[in-house]
Amino acid sequence: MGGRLGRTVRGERLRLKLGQMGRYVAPFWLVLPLAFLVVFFAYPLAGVLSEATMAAWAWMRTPYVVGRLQGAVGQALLSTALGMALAMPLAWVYHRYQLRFGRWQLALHAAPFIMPVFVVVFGLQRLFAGLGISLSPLWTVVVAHAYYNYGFAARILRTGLDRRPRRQEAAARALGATPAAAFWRVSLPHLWPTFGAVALLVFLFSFTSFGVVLFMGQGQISTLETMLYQNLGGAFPRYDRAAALGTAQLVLNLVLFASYLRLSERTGGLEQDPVARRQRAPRLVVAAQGAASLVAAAPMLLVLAGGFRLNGHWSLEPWRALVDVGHPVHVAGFVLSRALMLSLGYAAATVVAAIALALTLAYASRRLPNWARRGLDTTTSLPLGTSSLLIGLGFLLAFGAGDWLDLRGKTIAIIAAHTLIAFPFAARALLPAIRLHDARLDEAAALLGAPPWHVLWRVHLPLLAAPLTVAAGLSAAMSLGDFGASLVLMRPDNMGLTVWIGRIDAPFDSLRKAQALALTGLLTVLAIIVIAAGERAQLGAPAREASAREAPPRRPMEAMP
Amino acid sequence: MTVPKARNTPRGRAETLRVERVRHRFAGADGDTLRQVDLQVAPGQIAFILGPSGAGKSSLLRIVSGLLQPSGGGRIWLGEQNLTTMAAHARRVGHLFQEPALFPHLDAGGNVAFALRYQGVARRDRRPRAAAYLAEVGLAGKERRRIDELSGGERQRVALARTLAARPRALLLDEPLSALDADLRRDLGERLRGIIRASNIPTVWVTHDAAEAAAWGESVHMLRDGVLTSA
Repeated sequence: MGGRLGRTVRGERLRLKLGQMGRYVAPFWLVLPLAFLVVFFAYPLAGVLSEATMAAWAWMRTPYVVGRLQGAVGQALLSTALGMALAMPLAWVYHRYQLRFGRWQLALHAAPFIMPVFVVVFGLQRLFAGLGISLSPLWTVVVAHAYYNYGFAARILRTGLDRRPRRQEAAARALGATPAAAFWRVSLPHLWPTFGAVALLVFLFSFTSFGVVLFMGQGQISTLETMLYQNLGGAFPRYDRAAALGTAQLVLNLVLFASYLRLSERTGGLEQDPVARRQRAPRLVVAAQGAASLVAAAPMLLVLAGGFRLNGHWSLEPWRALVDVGHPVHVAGFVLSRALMLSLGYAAATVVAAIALALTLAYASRRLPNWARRGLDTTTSLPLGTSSLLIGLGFLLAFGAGDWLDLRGKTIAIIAAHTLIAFPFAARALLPAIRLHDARLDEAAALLGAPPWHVLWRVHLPLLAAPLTVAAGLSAAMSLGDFGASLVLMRPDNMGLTVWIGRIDAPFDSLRKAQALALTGLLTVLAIIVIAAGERAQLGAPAREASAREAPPRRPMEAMP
Repeated sequence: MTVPKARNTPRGRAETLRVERVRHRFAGADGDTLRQVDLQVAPGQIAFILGPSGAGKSSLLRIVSGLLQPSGGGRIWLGEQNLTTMAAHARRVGHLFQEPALFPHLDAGGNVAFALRYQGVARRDRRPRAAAYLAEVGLAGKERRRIDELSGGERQRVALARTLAARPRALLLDEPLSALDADLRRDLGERLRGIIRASNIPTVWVTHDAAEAAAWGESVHMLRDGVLTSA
């Protein structure tokens, strides 16, 4: 063999060896996301656990705490019942009927789930006040939780309904079953795990709620979260009690979340039947759905308008008070542009970090056996079942003065906490897309002459554009809307919009209230942009080539959370 | 647009495809999927390979195109060039699968233009050239069609046009017509045969259809128990 050709062959052999090694080296990249979880999740939570003293555990058993916890369970059960009662008919309508702008209407219903908590709190407060509705604190919280969760629950339920076994139903009907009986006896047994999983998730989010209960519970309603927060604040913070509450919350959340994961695994076993063409909706359904969309949008619209209303009149005064440092009601230390830029900066950093971690996780775990991937999925989903406030508390205890990593007041702590909250969402948007990626497309591209990095750039990236946009949108929304961890970790010099809203809001000062509404309106606009970008990206996503071997594609937004 | 002849080869002339003593065993399998497989296909010749499901026909094609490395050694030669250790993207061996594996984010023309990019065709020339390749397989005027708007037969034709646009030095066909109805099979089969003859490249065609192989193939082989024998 000639010298040049020989060198080429040797080079090719080396490349081949490296390629084969790469197959085994790829899983080692898992070190990155796992190390992130160990340092910023497991370690701080272990710190929380170690702070809980025996005295604190004894306090946990006092009638006061037990009574409050029973109340929290009752509240979460009511919230779940109301949320599911709203979600089920909505899911059925969008499953059954073709509605004009149906996709956007459903996105509107689901929007509160990723809106900052103040949008829901202020929006509902203004809606109740406008309609002259006066509810007890318990029912105010229950309605707020239902509003928060019903849309996203409806979205997952609709996906479940779309995947119902139509062929089996048709077989049952051929054997003489009525349509209702066929649905009841054939499809419903398959759908129960989906209903159960969604209900469990709504319960989990209602049970761990913080902002809604803090601002709408009027001190009469508690969750583990609000009690935890009470023990962190004041002149004599009780970190031991906060740690005991946090530990209890963590264990409960993990049990609930593990049950959710087990149930959701049972929802994935069905073979996809073709989704039937949706029927044209009767006028009554169109009208009812239009009214429902209006009600869903009302709190957000009221928040947007609220920033321009003062004492019953349209006014720019709230914005003047926010922007003008010399204004008599301007809150000391607040600079709008700085708070906005900080919030956007945290969001941008969170997007980059969460997506980088999720991509690393997805690509590094592609070739792992199923059991290992399932284990990884569960592990990386754990922060989803952990409250933002608890994450903040963990950071406070683990990365304080004298610790190996002192992150007090550091921007990196805020970004790490936001990334921890956003990471499971980004991972859940990206993992299915990357795992369902058809390897034959990569092979086809290589056979046409595309080198490996071209395959990534020209095949993977365009096909991942939609889930990437959704992951980015969700990560940004999580960061922009985070309240719990931000409240604990942010200092006056690095406070973002949500924490400032909490500071500026004063219920009995109309101008302060209007300022808080104006800032919440600003956050609402940012969240709407993020949601719209995610929806548009999914609309433009290329249809997969039909293949019997392929698992049914799931839209990332519907795979949430 | 005429179908490209076998040019652009290292020696500038048509080449023979040779598979020598290829052996392969999948991880965890009891025995060898391929045992000492030898095959020689002359330029312009179509070698049909028949065999039961799971006999290793597709694995053999994947080894030739570079998508799979033979675990037990062997050599793949195209003309005087040893392809065995070359990456798939550098071999320039066309491989058409049973399912067309078209890029869903590109339209029909875009799929063909994807291949032209790696032939050094300037960006402005890619679309017209892609349209010409599509016309060659009977899809004139359909270059702007989205993939999900095409029928199964049209998709397979786009895949064929895309494979031809990559100017392959050898062609591997893995049951490319099996998912099509009888009329389409006949039509596309005739076209394929004409294209292969005109381009003068060696072709390996895997099929289940013995009659098709007997009617068209100059050489028909049977792959059974990992051994390739002339039928």
